[in-house]
Amino acid sequence: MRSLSRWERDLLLVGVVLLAGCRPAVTRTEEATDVVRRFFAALPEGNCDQLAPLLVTGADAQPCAAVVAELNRHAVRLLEVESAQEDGRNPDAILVRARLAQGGVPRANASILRVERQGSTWRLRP
Amino acid sequence: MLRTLAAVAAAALVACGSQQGAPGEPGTETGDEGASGQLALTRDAGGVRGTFTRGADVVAFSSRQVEAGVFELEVRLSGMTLTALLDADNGVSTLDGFASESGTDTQMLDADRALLGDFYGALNAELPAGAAAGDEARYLRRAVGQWAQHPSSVELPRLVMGEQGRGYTMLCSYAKCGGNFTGGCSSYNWYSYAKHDCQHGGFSATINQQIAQLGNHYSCSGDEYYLSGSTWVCGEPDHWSRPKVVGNCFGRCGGGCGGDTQYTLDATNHDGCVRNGHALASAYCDDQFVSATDDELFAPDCY
Repeated sequence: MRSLSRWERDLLLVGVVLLAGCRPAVTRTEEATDVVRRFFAALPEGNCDQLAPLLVTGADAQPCAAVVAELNRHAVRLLEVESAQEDGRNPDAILVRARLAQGGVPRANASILRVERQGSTWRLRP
Repeated sequence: MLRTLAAVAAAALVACGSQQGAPGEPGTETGDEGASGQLALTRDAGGVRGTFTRGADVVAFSSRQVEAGVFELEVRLSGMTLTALLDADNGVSTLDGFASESGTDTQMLDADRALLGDFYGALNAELPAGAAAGDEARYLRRAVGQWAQHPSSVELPRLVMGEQGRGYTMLCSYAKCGGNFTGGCSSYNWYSYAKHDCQHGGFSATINQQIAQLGNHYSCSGDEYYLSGSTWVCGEPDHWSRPKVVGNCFGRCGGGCGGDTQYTLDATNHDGCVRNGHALASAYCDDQFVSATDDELFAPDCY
């Protein structure tokens, strides 16, 4: 077997370096799921400086303070995210299937949470 | 002395009798009014089908009996297809909803509910009440009524079955006042209690309960009439402790005073939730909506 030429060795070295540093891009569903987890993690504290950037904005959006107050009034908490997939009618919306608890009691049925892309960020529609 | 006592007693009785009074104009036995759009419905041996058009929005629908007692329904709107396979004899149904083009999952949104609500109103205006509509049309109307209230947070694919051993808990007797299902109430026949659960303590918390007169007796532009002190107010009490409520067909399956006359326990609890400080499609009422679905599809009419 012949030995590698210098440029072949250089090419191989570059390939190894690239593979070592290469990670799969975060998928849209992963981004949306992350928004859901971060929102519910911050919800009990009720700080809209942290929570508002995770919620959709616009004319039909509810104010952060009102959303947070109602969710905390009902003690809604995230138990687990089961799955996430794109809304078949809108590629800029992800449907996150989650198990929630209300007042300390797990809800009987899974809930579908909607996360929408606004600009370059993904935001939860309460 | 005796005449004075009698006069005082009479005055007291009059005061008690008129303390609550009547909420307003008695309701009439008609379908929901004010639905916009144009319904084109065709009936033939294959069932019913047609379209409902509201501005640029078009709803296409069909309903047919595929075998004895089993009905297959399809409603298409706004890039979404809703389907139902209803086994009326066994009280079991398979519901589904998906993006029409790709077949992948989608979600019921405000605009969808609004369009389905108008479609439901048009069906009520067009079709006879109850079983007179014919089975294909009647189950179509019931399914549309259910979809028009479907919360965004409840997934569209569902298997709906009545609870084993319970059937439908009918509350027909509570839908009457003064012996009648409709018209004003000279005396009330209160049902205690319409209940829902949230963080205040569950079904047993009094602020999650209402004392309700079911039936088609009064109507107003809000959710219902509720008693505030000695005055009937049109609107929605927000987690009051056991308020008395009446109007807009409280306890009836479907939205408002739709074309069927099923008054059930689960429908009453659902109304108690969405008319007690929560929006119609509020996620807080998901459990009540899911429980009421089999009632809405299969429970018998009270009259």
